[in-house]
Formats: sequence, structure tokens, C-alpha cells
Amino acid sequence: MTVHRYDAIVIGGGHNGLVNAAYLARAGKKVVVLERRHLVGGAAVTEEIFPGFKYSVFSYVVSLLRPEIIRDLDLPRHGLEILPLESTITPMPNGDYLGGWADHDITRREIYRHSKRDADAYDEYNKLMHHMAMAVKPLLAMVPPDPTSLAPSDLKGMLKFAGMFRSLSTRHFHALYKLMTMSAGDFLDEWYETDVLKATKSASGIIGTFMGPRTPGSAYVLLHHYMGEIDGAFRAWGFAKGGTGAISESIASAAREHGAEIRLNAAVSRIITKGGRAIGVALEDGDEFHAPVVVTSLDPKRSFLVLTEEKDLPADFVEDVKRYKIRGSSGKVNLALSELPDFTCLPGRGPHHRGAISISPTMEYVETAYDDAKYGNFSRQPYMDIVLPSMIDPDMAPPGKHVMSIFVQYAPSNITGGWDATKRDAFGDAVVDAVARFAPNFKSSILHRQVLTPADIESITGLTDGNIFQGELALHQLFFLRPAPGWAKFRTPLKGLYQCGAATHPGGGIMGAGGRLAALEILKDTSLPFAARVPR
Amino acid sequence: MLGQSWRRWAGCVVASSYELSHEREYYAIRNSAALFDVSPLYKYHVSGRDAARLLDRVVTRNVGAAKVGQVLYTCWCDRDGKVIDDGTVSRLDDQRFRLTAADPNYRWLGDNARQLSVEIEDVSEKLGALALQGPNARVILEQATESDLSKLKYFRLTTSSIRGIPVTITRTGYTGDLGYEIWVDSAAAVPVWDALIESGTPYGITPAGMLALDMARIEAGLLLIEVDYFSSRHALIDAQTSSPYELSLDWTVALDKPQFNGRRAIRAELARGPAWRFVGVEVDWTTLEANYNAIGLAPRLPTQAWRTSVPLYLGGKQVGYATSGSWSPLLKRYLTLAHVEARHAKPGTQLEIEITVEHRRKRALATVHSLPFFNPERKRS
Amino acid sequence: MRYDALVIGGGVNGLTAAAYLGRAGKRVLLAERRAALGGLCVTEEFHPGFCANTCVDDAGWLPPEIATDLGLAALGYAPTFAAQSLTIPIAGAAPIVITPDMRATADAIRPHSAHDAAKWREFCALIARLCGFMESLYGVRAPAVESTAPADLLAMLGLGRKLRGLGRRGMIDVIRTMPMPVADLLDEWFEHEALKGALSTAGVLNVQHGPQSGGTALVFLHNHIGLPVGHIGGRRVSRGGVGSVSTVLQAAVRNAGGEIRTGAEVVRIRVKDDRVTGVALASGEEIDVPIVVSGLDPRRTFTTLLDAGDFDPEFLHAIDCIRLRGPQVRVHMALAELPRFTSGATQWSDAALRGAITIAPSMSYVEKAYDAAKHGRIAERPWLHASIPTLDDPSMASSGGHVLSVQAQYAPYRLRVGWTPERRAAFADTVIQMLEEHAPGLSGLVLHREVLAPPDIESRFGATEGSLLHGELTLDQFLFARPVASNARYAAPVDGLWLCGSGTHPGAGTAGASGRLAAKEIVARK
Repeated sequence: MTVHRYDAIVIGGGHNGLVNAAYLARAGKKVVVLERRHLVGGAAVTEEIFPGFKYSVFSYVVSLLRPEIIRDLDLPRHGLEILPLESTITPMPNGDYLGGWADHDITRREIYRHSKRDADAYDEYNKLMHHMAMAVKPLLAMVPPDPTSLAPSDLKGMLKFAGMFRSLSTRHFHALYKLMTMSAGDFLDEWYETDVLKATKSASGIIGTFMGPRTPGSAYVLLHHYMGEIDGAFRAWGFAKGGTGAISESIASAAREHGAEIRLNAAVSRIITKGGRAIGVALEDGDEFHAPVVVTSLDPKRSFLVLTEEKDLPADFVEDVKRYKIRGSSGKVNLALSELPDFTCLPGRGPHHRGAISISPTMEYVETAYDDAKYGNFSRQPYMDIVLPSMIDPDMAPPGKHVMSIFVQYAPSNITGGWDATKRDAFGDAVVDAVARFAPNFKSSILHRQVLTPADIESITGLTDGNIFQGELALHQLFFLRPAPGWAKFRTPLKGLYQCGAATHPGGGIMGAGGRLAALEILKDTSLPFAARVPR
Repeated sequence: MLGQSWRRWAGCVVASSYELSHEREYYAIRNSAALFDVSPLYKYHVSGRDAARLLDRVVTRNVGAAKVGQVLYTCWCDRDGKVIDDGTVSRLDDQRFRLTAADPNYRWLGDNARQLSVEIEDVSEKLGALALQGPNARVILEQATESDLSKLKYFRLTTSSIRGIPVTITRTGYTGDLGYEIWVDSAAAVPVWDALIESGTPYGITPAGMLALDMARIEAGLLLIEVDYFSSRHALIDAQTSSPYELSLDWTVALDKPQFNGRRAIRAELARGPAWRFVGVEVDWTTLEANYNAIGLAPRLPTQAWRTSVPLYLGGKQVGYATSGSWSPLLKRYLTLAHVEARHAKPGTQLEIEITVEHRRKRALATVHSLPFFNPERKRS
Repeated sequence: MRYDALVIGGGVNGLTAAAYLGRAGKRVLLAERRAALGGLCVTEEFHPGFCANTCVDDAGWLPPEIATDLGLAALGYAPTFAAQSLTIPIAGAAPIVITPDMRATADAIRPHSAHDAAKWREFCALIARLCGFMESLYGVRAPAVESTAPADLLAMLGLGRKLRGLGRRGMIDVIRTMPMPVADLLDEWFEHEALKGALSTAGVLNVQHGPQSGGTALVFLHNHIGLPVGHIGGRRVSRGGVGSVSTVLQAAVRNAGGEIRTGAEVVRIRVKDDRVTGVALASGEEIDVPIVVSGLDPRRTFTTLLDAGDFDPEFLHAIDCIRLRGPQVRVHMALAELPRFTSGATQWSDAALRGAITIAPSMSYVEKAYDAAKHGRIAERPWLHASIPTLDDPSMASSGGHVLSVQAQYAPYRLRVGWTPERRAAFADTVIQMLEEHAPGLSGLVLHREVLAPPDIESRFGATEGSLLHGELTLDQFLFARPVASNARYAAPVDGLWLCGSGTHPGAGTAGASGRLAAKEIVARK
């Protein structure tokens, strides 16, 4: 057995772990990142599953990556390049479609074609959502205060928190309250009359959650996803050149430049504790790494119920972690295609191939997809968000051929009887059939198919139940309640053990905020000279 | 054509100018005649038993009292008495009106039509609009329509035809000059345009774009949404909104008519007095020149109208801001349109305006002026 | 003018508001459209010799201040009311009866789940703690969270102090529980499907949501306010039927000098220059009055009694957006004799029969029933509460026999295919057939049945969309957002017009609380 000593150990080389390591290394810490797989990225990886075809295997679009991280770590110099996704089209059962394009005027005309009222509503809705997102955004860069604490820092935090809401006009405050409490479907009903428009918009209220568009709480997820859209000029949803793995690689490169060490094929088997402190980790091969700071980027169930012994943690904390809702709800299908799908609603090759294709033809379609999942089945007709990364970055596929990424909901992790190969194939078939309804040439264009169920996502990435957000973005699991009340400030009941994954505030998506905020908290807790080196 | 430049307006693309410079187009407005394509305006037909009632709920002027054939310039407000938009209401018939607007208002009209028997049609795309403006506008239009328009009074409408194409003519415009707007089925708008150009050629007609129009409307003291004021619908904070009084549109508010949106708030505002007024502010030539002379330059004047916010001061304190400005080649004066705190808004009040002289911020004297700056007799006669 | 104020609607809140206004020296007239007072809280004869609580069995929690302020005790009001228990049928075994006796309840649960029995007392304590906090929210007008006025800040501070008083864990429980789905809450505590299924109905009662919908934990808490500790799933039942509270309140109104007119339907509220000037009755009579207080639901008040031109469209849009969505059908049966409820060979105990017999075998059963409503269909297998009021109050079947009253969900107001007499009958058949599984021979005892679908409740009682709550009581329609965020303090946007019904804070299930708070605001204004 070998023992390695560091200032800090980061468990998991996903984007949050890497961001965390980069910030710690940048402050002069001797940091090691321990990644179980042969490559960094966690759920943000690019892999050449079939020769010549590169897939963003899991996470496939980016919008929420914090601009301060891009600036602080100088990621573009390390290869980060985010290309805009231009549009979203939703094919409709009647052969028509709804398009949302990069140009506002064109989108307005398109909505006007479906409903004159909605065209007017669209402008006002966007204004409102923009304003809401701007109001909530500072939260993303804030360590959640503990409302139950009377410590000056918490009171100050709560005042800041309250102040943010007070600065809103009454009208906007009420709108925000609605967003926090309503279902996406009900919220959109207040604005729009066009079903396909509501269905497509409501879809961003369900992505990654085990909720349907009519489930209260889904309107917040709408806002969570909207926040990403306000950084760029008009539409910041984008696709990283080289796939999402390129994002992870750029962060890893920045971390290494600052002196962090990244060990691949290094699976942590347990967190070593001593006298109520975490002092290091042990790998599956028996090697040990010791450090005064251990940071886990894994989800809390894995961190605290698998890697840590229950007896080392307070009982109510363990209870809270057990109560924390994870529930995987989505799957992923990656395809290699011989040709572009030819959509009945928009025949031939067109600008719509450079954007997202949303399979959300009606509200009832999406809601029914959810109904299937509630009772332990995958959706027979699922909601899907489809992109063709090779249309944006031609290097993703051999010339003339394409890769298609299909995000699918719902595929419940707790499917009745558990996932197996037969169910996986049936699920893949359901997905292909649902797309083929709208693009007749689709089936025959498929060269290779990779189907990932929540079980597959869990076994490859380690995300419990394959949940992409490391836990539901429900009101009772947000902000100072994420992941457990009292432990939302990236610390844990074990001294020296920190958390930085998507299960911490502010939650999922390729955001990196948890990794960064955790690093800043760690530096605050450890010796001052290090902290002083971090700007602001 | 060489030098055309284009810009967006309400989801359409329109000419900024048809030549490299817009100067000739500007002079045509004041000297002969200019023809503008103003089709991107939003246009709605409101008809039915309660058509007047609907419009009276929405706008601030008294629509019910308007005669058939009358056109009203008006604004409309939200419940807080803040302006949403401005435009015109034409009474086409007893129960038939046309509303023009700068912003989309289809949904808003529908929301106001509750319990009313009324039909609202968005005719923005269906209806083309051409503005013929300038001293020769009447003679050109008389030739094109082969009719006598001397009876058509300011802000009145009539129907006629041009080359057999039925048109509605209103004596309105956005230049503050003698002028007409011609409303025609959009499919037939191009032949009407051609006919007007043909009839107008002997009278010096020229197609004109937005740059020339912008200068003319500043001389005429006419508001532009998103430039001189923000629609309360788009404002992010209350400070971005304006009431009719704050836009000096007092004359458009019929407080004595039955309930309309914002009446309660407007009455309350009237009782306390508006906080702001919208006025003309003329930049003083002498101090402007002195500022330039001090560094060895002759004064530089804007070549086109500007649309930025420029601070106005009194005794060192900011008391307002100009939102558009232009050199008036005709009046030989530097004009701006500005929001000024009500107590400093009396015509003749001396203020200071910020100017940028060779990269440095300076101040020139400026005088509050009642609007419009330019008001020729032919506009109404 | 003969009156200072006119209250529309003689429901519990209207009566309470009228009594408070009368006590404050206002000359007040209460106008009720129907012949009987009580609004939705009425006991009526539905078949010769048979009476039922037509709409609701639970008159709600009457805040103690009302009893004191209006001297209700002297008028015959008994502050301690009977609380009906929850009876949970268990396949092949005696039903679990949940009573305030926590030990007895735990004992009843134990044979089915030792785990759940062990958790029972602690769960009851949690619910009691959370309800205690909610009671304090319900005693004051809705806090204006966004306001910076000193009075509002003080009120917020007061509530903040109350919250702090709960201690760290208690605060977290409040913040965390309210937005939760009731399914998650119950899953955290219990494992037994039938227990969770039956309890979850308290989280979805009268709302078109399923146990997995966020915010149904709030509904669950709301339905426990004022109940004795441990009486989970119980109902507040007044002796003499649900209408007895309104009988007492009527006397209170008269004692306070108020006048009550029944059969007086207000068809229009007159407004001139942003001020209320009076009302017009269906009879053609016009009454001039400067203050009008509506106990009707907000949708009915603003969209049927007033001219839209007097309100701005944004306000009316907000009124349109209130989710009413009555999801419940009432079935009242006149029975020739008491049905025999059995589990296998075991006959149910008397206590079990006196409870609200709850058929909701699991939370996913309830959820599936909800799915139908969500898509605009009637649930094929609804969940239901059945009670036999004649066991406690034989006078409800004066000439002998028994009454069986059922509330069943979900059958949405907005049915895709539309409501017809056949659909009503088919639904009642389903209900009877479901009960027959526990009470063989029941259908043979039915002398008469009355079915009230949401549209019937709307047409008979004026509750829009058949919503017994005057608006779903969910997080987004709660506190400062009830009935609409811009007007959550009882005052309407025109002077002199007020709301006092259960569509305002704190809302349905709290008898008279809205009426009391509205009256206090009205009196404070002038």
C-alpha cells in the first residue's frame, strides 16, 4: 500500500470536480483529482463509440457554464469554444411545425402563424422571464445562507437574499413567486393558447426531473434553464466544439496548468476518517491518499451512504441524505447516421438541422409520457430533445455522415422489474419509432445505435439512479435545503470533507458553480495566505 | 440604387435612405414632397356594436365623441396610468374604427374587449400605408386621385381611388407638414406607390426613408416610442415609465369620459402634479461654438438625428435628459426633445446640456422651448 | 341610505363578516340568494325524510377569536366539536381506525406495519407543530412579503419570530414541508400502502392534484388545522350537521343589529367613478350602499356581478387564472337500513362505521385517479370518503333508515366529453359498486340517490367550477397570493368593494376566518 500526501483531494473528475481542483490549485494548493474512469468529464464526456463518430455521450448542450469560471480559468485558451445552437423546431402530428429561430422577428412571425395573441404574448413573456432570470441569477454565485442560524454571516446572507426580492417590483415579485410554486403547464396556460408552443416551452420545465409539465414545481425548472439563455447576445444555448468532453478537457487543462494532478482509473472506495475528520481516501487498489481537505463531487447518496460509514455521521444528517430525492427520469440515445433525417414538416436539408428538434407535439403527449413513468414504465411515446452535433461541428462524424444525440424522457430508474437488455432495446425502439413518425427516412439512415438507460448512466458515470442533476430541482431541495438542511454551504458534518457536485447549490447542468463556490469556501476555511491569492 | 440602406422596423425591413445621404430626402419634406412606406405600423380594425366602447376603455381620448371621418391622435395607458403606446384612431364608420400603433396590441385589445360585442382584426399585413408629406403633397394627391382635396381638413379622412384602386386618405403624418397618409390593400400598394411617384415627379417628389423622417419629426416635436419613452409594457423598472402628462400629452386625456385604463392613477397624478414634462430644448449656438473654438475647431453638428440619452443640468444638478436631437437644416437650430423635471420645464428656462467636444465632456447652454419647433401654416390650412 | 354595508352571500364567511361589521356599528344587510343560509355548509333534505350535508361534511376550523368576539358560546356554540375519524379498510382484516388516541391508533396499525406504528406518535407531533404555525398565519391578514411599509415589516418580523420559536429543526420542517408532494412526505414516514393511500387523500381533498404534485403537503396540513393532536385524516364535524355553525352565526348577526334577507339574489354591483354605489337584486330592487362585501368566489364576483370596464384587464386576467377546478362528486344515498360492512368474515366495529370510510388503497391508486382528471376524464376508479351521518345524528333520517354520503374524486368540472345525466349515473354506480365490495348488499338498500357533479354544485350553490374551496388551496394561491397577488387584502380595485369569502386568505376549511379578517380591514379603513 502506498500513501500519497496532498493539500486537497477531489473525488471525481466531472466538470465540478475539475473546476474545484483548478481553483484550489490556482490558490497554491497541492491538489489531486481522482477519477474512476479512463477519461475526465463525468457526465460531460466525448467518446468515439463507433469509429469516426464522436458522441457527447451524456450531457450534450451547454448554457449555464458560469462566465466567471470561463474568465478566471481562461478556458478559451485551453480550447473551450461554444457554438450557438440556432433554433428549435417541433414537428406536429398534422404535418406542420413550430419553429423558434435565432432571429426574434422571424420567430415572432412564426408564432403569429399559429396564434396572433401568442405572438404578442411571446414578447412580453420573454421580457418577464429575462427579468426573472436576471433577478434570480445572483443566487447562482451566492453561498446559501442558513435561515435557521443567527450567525452574523447568515443573517447578512438572508438580508441580501431578502433584499434581492425586495428590489423587484410588486408585479415581478408575484411573477417570481408563481414561477417558484406553479407547474410549468399552468404557468404557460396563463400566457399562451397554442398547445404546441406550450408543450415545447414546458419541456424545459421537466428536463432532468421526475415531474410532468402539470406537476407544481416544474415552473421553477423552466426558470433554471432560462437563466442560461441570458448571457449571450440572444441565445446562449450552445454546443461545445468537440462535444461536451471538450469542456471538461479545457477545465482539466487549466487545472493542470495551475499544478493540479489528475489521476485516471483511480476509483475511490472509501473516505478515511479519524476522530470526526476526513483525512483522506482509499482507492479500490488499496492505495491511500491523505490530505486535510477532501472534496467530493459525487452525489450525496454515494458520498455519504457508500463512501462514508454511517456511524461517522450524525443520524439526522444520514436521515436527510436518505430523504433526498434523486430518481432518474431520463435516458440518452446516440446514433450514427448515414444521412440527415428528412422531416415531413420541413423537407430537405435546412437550417433546422443546425438546431434542436423537440418531440413535444402536444401538452398531453408530454404529460402522458410522464404518466407512463410514474407507474414504472418508460414512455411509450417519449419527449425528446434532439440535436445533430455534426451539423455544428463537422469533426464529430466522417464527412457526409452525422451523429445524432437524443435526450429522452421519461425512462425511470425504478422501472418495474429493473432495467435489462431487453427493456433497453425496447426503449431504444420506442425512441426510434417516435422520431420516425416525423422523418420517414430516419430508420434506414441509422448506422449505429447506443442506448443509455438510467441504469447504464449510473453504471458508467456513477450518478445515483442516473439522475443528471444529482437530485431533483424541487423547491424543497433547493438553495439552503440542497442537499440537506444545514449543510448547503459545501461543508459536511465531517471536518475536512466538502462537497461540490450538482447536488449542491445551485444545482445541475454544466454550470461549474458548485465547484467554484466550494473551492472559495474551502480556501476561506484553510490558511489565509492561500485565500488571499484568490482574487476577490 | 446606389447607397440604399435598410433597417428593421416592427419585424419588417424599411429604407433608412434611398441614396447615400438622406439630405435631399429631408429637404423634399419641407420643400416639395416625400413619399414614405410606413406599412410596418401595426393596424387594427375594430368593429361592432361596442367598438367605440372598447376603444374608449383603452385610449385616453374620447372616441365616442369623434365624428365619422375624424382621426384622433391618442395614447393609451396601463392601470398605473403609464403610457403603453401611442397612435391614431380613425372613425371609418359609426361602428368601425382603425387603430394604428407602434407596438403589437392585438392581445391587449382582446383583453379589453371582455363583455363587449366587438370584432378585432389585425390588418397590419393586409393594409399598406404610404405617407405623402410636404408642401406639394396636396397637388400631387389631387392629380393621382383626380379629386379635390381642399375640403379634407387636418386629421380628417376620406375615401378615393388611385388608378382604380380604392384607397383611404387621412390628412395625417409624422413630419409636422402638410401631408397625407394613404391606406390601401397591401397587394395593391405598389401600383399606388408608382402612381404617386408618377404624378409627383413634376412636383419634385422623392422616395424618402427613416433618417429624413426622424429629423422632420423632431422639428415637429413628435414622440417616438422606445426612443423618447418606453412602453410601460417593456419597462423593467417603474422609473422607465411615463404618464401622458409626463409626455406633455395633456390634451389627449379626456378625464371626463367614462372609465378608461389608468384613469384613477391619472387623476391622482393630476392632483399632485406630474413629476416630469416633455419639452423641446434648443442647444445654444454661441456656447456650442465657444466650446469648439476653445480647442481650435469649428462647431461639429450631427449629420443625422441622434437617439441617445443626454443629461441636462441646472445649477450643476441634473434636471432632465434629452432623448433625441437633430440639427435642423431648415431652422438652422440644434433641436432636442427632452424630459425635464416639471418645475424647470417652463419655456425659456435656461439649462445646460452635455456635449462631447473632441472626446471630452463639456456643457453648452440650452433653452426650454415649447413644441413643436416647426409649425407651418400649411400643416392645417 | 338605509345601510352602511351589504354582504353578498350567507355562507359562514359572509355571516361572520356581517356580524363583525354590525358589532362595529355598521348598519349591515346580508343578502342571500337561496332560501337557506350557510352557503356550502348546509344540511338539506335530499329525499323525503332523509337529510345530508349537501356539499361538505367538515365545517372547518373556527378560529377561537371568533367564538369569543361574537359571544357564540351564549348562542349555543360548543367550541369542542366532534371529530370524525378516518376508517381505512384493510383487505382480509379489520379496518384501521385513526382516532386522536395515538396509542390506540398505533396499536391498530401495528399488525400491518410495526415500522409505521412506531413512527405514528412522532408523525402526529410533527403535523401538530406545523399546524400550530399555520394557525398563527391564519389569525392575521396575509403578510405583504414584498412591502417595505413599517407595519408590514413588523408583521413579517412577528411571523419570523414565530417561525424561530419552532427551533432549528422546526423551521426547517416548515420551510421544507409546505412545497412538498404529500406522497414524498408520507413516504418519508410510512411504508404501509393502504395507510399512505388513505392519508394522502387529505393532501388532495378538493384540489385537482395527485399525491405526487408539489404543494399537496400544504393541503394536507391545511386540512388538519384545529384538529386534536393525532387526529390525522380526521374531520371537524359539528353536532346538528354542518349547518349548525351558520345557525349560531345567524343569531350573532341579528344580535349585532344586522339584517338578513334570504331569497335576495344580487345580480349586479353598481360602480360609478371607481366607487361602489349599490347593488341591484334579481327582483329589480336597487339598494344604495357605499360598502359591498362579497362572500362569493372571486371569479363569480368580478366576472358576473360587475362591469369589466371598471377593472383593468390585467386584474381580470389574474382573476381568470385562479385555479378553481372542482374535482369532486357528492353522492348521497337514502338507505332502508344500516349496511353491513365486513372484511371477510369480520364485521366492522361501530367505531369503524362512524368514521369516514376511505377507499384509497394506495397512493398510486389515488395518483392514477388524478391522471384521469388531468386529461379531462372521469376516474374509472375514484378514491372516496363515505360516511353514515345518521349513526351520530339519527334526526338526519327522521322516519328511520340511514344516510350514506360519499365524496369521490376525481371527476373534473371540465370534462372533455361534457357532463350528461348518464355520466352522473354511471359515476354513482361505480361508487356504489366500490362500496359494495366492503358492504355486500348495499345496492339493494338504496331507496334514492342524489348525485352532485361539479357543474351541479356550481349551478346550485354558485361556486364557480364546483370548487368548494373558491380556488384551490395550493402554494401559488396561498397567503399573499390569495385570491390574486395584487389584491390579497380583501379590498377590490374599486373603492367600497371587498371580498370576504373563502377565496381570500386564509380560505376554505377555516370557518369564518376570512370573514373576520375582511371585516377588520373594512372597519380599519374608515
